[in-house]
Amino acid sequence: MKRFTFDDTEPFLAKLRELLATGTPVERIEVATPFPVHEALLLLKTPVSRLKFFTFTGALTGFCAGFALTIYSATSWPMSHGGKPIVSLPPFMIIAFELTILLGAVASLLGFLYLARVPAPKYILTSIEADGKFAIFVEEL
Amino acid sequence: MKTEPVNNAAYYEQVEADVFAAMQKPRATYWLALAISLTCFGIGLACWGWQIFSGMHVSGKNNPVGWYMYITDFVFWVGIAHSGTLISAVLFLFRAKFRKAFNRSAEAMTVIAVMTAGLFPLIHLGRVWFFYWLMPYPNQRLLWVNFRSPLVWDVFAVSTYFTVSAVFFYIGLLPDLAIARRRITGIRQWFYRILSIGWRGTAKQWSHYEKLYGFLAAFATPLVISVHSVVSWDFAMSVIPGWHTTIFAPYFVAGAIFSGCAMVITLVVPMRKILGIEQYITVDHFESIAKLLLFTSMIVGYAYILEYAMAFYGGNVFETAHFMFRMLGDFRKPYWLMCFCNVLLPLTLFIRKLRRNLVYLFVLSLFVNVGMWLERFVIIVTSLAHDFDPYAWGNPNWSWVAIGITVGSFGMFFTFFLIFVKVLPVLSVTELKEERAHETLHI
Amino acid sequence: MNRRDFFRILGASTGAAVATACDQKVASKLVSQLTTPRLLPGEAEFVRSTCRECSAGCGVLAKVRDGRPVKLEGDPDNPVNRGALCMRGQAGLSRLYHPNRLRAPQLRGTTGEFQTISWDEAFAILNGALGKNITGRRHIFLSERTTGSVSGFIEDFCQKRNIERRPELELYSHAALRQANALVFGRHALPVYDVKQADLLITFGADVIETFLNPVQFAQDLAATKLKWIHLEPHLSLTGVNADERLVVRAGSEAWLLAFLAGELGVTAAQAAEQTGLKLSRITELAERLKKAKNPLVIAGGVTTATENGLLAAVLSAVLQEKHHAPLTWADDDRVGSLADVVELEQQLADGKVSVAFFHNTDPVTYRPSFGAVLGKASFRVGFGDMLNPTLAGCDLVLPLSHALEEDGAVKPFGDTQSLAGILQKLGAEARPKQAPVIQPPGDVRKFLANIKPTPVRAGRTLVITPSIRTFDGRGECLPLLSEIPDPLTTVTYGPWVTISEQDAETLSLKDGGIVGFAVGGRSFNLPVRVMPAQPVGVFTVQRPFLNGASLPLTVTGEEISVWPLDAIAVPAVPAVALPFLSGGMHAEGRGIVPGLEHKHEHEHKAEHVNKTLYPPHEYKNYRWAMAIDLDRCTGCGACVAACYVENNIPLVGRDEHVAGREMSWLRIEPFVNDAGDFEMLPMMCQQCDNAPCEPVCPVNATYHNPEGLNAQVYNRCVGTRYCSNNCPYKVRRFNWIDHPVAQPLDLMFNPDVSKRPKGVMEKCTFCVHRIVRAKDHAKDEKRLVHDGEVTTACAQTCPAQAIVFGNILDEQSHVHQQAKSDRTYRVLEELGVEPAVYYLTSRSES
Repeated sequence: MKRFTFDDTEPFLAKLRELLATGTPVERIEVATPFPVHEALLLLKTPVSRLKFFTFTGALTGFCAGFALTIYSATSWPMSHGGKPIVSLPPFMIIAFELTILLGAVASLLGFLYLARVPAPKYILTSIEADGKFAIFVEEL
Repeated sequence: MKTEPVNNAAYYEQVEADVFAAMQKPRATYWLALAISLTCFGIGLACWGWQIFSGMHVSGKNNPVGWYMYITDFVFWVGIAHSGTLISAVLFLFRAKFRKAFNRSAEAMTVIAVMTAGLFPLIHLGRVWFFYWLMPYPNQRLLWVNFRSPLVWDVFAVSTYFTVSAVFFYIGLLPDLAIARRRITGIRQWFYRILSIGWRGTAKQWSHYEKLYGFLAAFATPLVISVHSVVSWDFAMSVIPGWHTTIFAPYFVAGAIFSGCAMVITLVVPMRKILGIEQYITVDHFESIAKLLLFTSMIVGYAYILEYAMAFYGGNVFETAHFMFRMLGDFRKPYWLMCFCNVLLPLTLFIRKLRRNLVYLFVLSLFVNVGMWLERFVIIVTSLAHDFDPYAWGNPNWSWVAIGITVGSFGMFFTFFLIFVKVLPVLSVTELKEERAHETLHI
Repeated sequence: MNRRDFFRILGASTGAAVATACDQKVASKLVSQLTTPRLLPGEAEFVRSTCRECSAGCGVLAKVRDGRPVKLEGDPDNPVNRGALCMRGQAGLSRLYHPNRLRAPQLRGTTGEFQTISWDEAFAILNGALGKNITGRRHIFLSERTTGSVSGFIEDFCQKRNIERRPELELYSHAALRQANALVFGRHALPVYDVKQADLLITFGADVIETFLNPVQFAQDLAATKLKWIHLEPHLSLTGVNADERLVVRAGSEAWLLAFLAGELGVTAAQAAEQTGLKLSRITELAERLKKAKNPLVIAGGVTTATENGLLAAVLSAVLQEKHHAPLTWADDDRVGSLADVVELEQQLADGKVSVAFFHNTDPVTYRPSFGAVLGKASFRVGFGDMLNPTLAGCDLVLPLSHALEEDGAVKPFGDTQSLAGILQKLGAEARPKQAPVIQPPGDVRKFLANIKPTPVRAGRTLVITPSIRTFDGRGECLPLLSEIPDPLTTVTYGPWVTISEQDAETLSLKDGGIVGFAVGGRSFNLPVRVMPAQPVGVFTVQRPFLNGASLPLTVTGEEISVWPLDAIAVPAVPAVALPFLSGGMHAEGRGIVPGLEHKHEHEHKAEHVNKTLYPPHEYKNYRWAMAIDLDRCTGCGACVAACYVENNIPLVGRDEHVAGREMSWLRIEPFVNDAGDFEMLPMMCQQCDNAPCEPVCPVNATYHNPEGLNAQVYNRCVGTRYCSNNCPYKVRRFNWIDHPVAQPLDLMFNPDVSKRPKGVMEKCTFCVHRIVRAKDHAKDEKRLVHDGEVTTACAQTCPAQAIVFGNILDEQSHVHQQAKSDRTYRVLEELGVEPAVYYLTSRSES
């Protein structure tokens, strides 16, 4: 494993371009930066995040769960309240809305943790190489 | 900001050093502030204990006025929370640059204020020991909650709001926690090691991270509007004159942002001074937030006038009588003080000089905080005190316990905020660095 | 230890633990002792008794559950009250359970403290004291008004033991009426007026539906008839606001008007007008109407006959009654004297002429403090009573009397008490047959009228002293329920107070609770004021119990004077007190609460006025419980409120909580006044709305609409958000701000059918749902539906005016259905669309 570390973006990107130009395949390059460097992501052809599937699933589940919970509980023991129908959709919509957001956000968080492979016990317990630097790791054959 | 640095690395180091210097061993003034806050918090807890022991009558409420200072506090704190989300999520979506100066402390404020607010629905319960009956959970008696009740909407809205804003706060903190893990040594390092969950900042991680941040911001924006709308529906869904009105949702949301901006100013003006981070939170930033304050103040003022217009144009005897009472009745003093604080005083922000005077802004923000507390107080109490049946009219009683719990909530809020400023970076170091990099890379 | 030993020890210890749990104390608490074979656990039995809270003597039925009376209800078979009972009667039961009740004979020891002794010792002491004859001294016996066998025992006891039986003491003896009746009809007694046969009723000062003679009967009869009723009074009273016409006259001037109406003493209309302050046209019109009426009835009493001109007014009203052949029957109370007799006794005591003095259920010391000063001059003082009062506290020997209900076998007695008859029997007395009432030849009315001139009325501020609808002559002051229920018009709960007019309040710069100082009866008082609309200017009304400690001047007939000049009224520089009054406002015009033009409008535009709704209407299967309240009948007396308190175990919270606005009444009477000074008394309880705003806002389903239309409240599920109460337009929900501990043994009075509500829980009226359930159970046993009239609420049951009708509105034959269909019907705040199930019927004159 070869490692290059920099204190700033310019030399970091320059080295990255150089490595790619010299024919190092992107699969063998890994970079770590203190903040997102979009040029690096483009250069490395990082695929678009699949997080949206998690988010969508969570939000949809929340929406359905909101209506399911409210309608089920209202009909499981029907009680009249102030002349309103047993299944009162407008108020139930509020619950569905809140649950859409709640489960959407939670699913996004969990999806992120899964996709970004955190928490990573290895990196919690041991020190991280080149922490806080602009680093390029090249996997050697 | 078109300074041409030879090397950004020095700037990055400087930002880190400045922000983390603020997290060093606190000075005596800090301990004093913490002691005062903790004392207030303790008073609040003691008052709550006394109230649970002896009954709700110590809270000054009575027959027409079933909600009093606690619901006022609840709405106040939920409102305070809102500007945090506004600054971090809405302004993020709008790419407003000045948010970077405030977003961390505003997000912390959101989380702490929602925690504080969340206690009040419990405090005001007659039987707080059964608070969990408000949650829907399966039980052998087939008892569910009533989803038609705005209070159940509150349970869902506030808990969702707390969860989402806590997640948002944490996600924003994550890269900074990784910096803290590196900069802070000794036993404290383990705290940051664990919190930063092994974040490395690889290209893949950043790509998921940015997506997540965008989604959370997109969720938080409608959420923040829904939460205060739901809070306003606690009142608007009722039949009581003074509460039963359709303008409440937008009126409350604007009021929430208004009060939240004021609280941001109240917190950040002394904070930047004490922590020595003036160069990162500048007068320009404050001017931007002052404009937001002015704008929301005018919405609130418009709503105040509109309420009267609707009452008198509608010609409903109860509405008319109620708003006459609000203006001229037993609560006219808080009412007119509220108008002064929330409508008249912020108009001075049209003057650029005042907008850029931090001392003035700080004092003004205190007035707005008071004014917005009074607004909720006036809406809640006057409406209940004078509704339909004159026989049942009555004013609530002065209560030291309710005052104590209100003071306690401020104690709790400041205690947590003081802990926050010493434990977590009060500025987003990562975002400051990124901003700098963008400026130098693209220009 | 082997396995078997282990099981042995385990078994033995478990057995021991179970055995200790079988504590007898626990068992005796669960089920009370079966005292009679007729007792069925869970089923009520009814025991007849007589109410002693005023001198009317209504018949009551005590509802006894498991050996404990839990409520008093009017006895339907009793001719005096015919099933109704006023608030004093409803509250009377708490005497039985009063924590201050005497439980054993008390003897004053050498140190001056009371010591408990046995009955045998008490009888020995009594016999010893009665045996001693001191020359120049006599034994005396002073009692409250007694009737029947008790009176016979006293008579026999007094004769056998050589005791002087003093005239019986009632503070409101109506001595002027007695003297007038002796003069005109030859009966030194009080009449029972029959207003049902009259077509015109003119009352002078007699608060006929509050305290005068038989108020319950008056209220019933007045509600049932359609006569015209004109009431004249110097102040503002509940009776006055209920009359068809209320005329305010100057205090003490009534005799002038009566003389003019009777055509006596040569009083002209102009003189009467000048003295009373009424318009001349008003007076001639009144005389005209009296002349035209076929069966007019003129009654003078109350504050009118307790003035300087009181005897003349009483005689003139009796003359008018005789002239118009008013049908009168006579009550059995010839032995009642007046305070003049107490003054005479006071003199005897002062002169050292009394050896053993007996006081039975009476309290002359409270009425006349000077009596207390000479009480010690009797050689030995014996008191009979249920609780210590100032007179009994000054006695040497105090003998505790049992409650009337304890004398029947159904109720287990508290403590070591005995009935008066039983005590006197042990002292040698025997039952006596009823004595025939004394009938004398009538006196010479002409001669009386020839020798009397009415005193002219003086101008200036006046204090009018009235009995209290709640505590009567003060005997109810010890019953907390009567202080908890507001005074009907002023809505003040815990007194004392003085009612003043708005103009006087302005002149004296006083607000509610501000203090006025005045002197009456040798004592000065600083009392808070209650400012009332429609109170006559210059008239200050105070209820007699608030003047305890003063010896009020007596009239010629020996009654306490009811009208006192108040020229030297002062506003002392003391801070105002927080006066607990429950009304937040007395003006409700245009709000759709009291009958008004808006309802007329609603009726006229009924078709377009049906509340539009998005939702389908409620469907009810067999029952939809509803209530109709006839405001034309309702007098606002508060009997229903008291019944509701007792029936539903509503806690009494006391003065401080009332000042804070935390009363617990489920049912209240709201007085409203219009600009013309006319009052409307509106009973207000949960309206059991079809579209109840309280229901959807409860987060935990603690309140919901039950299948029979009731707005049910599930106490156990309530967490106490108070949202329901906030959202109730009628504000009829009550929150338990605190736990409400009850002094022992008052907890035994709780109705076992209604659960006690803990701290932090909302409670409310549910149309006495426990009674409905009981009736439905009964009907189910017989495989039918509940009949109309089979079940009624506590408030409807006790109402003297029968203003409240309860029933199933789905039953088209039901009374409530008929009432709800009446063209007088409106519902409070109908325009809110909450569809309340309580129908109010406006006064006939308004529809």
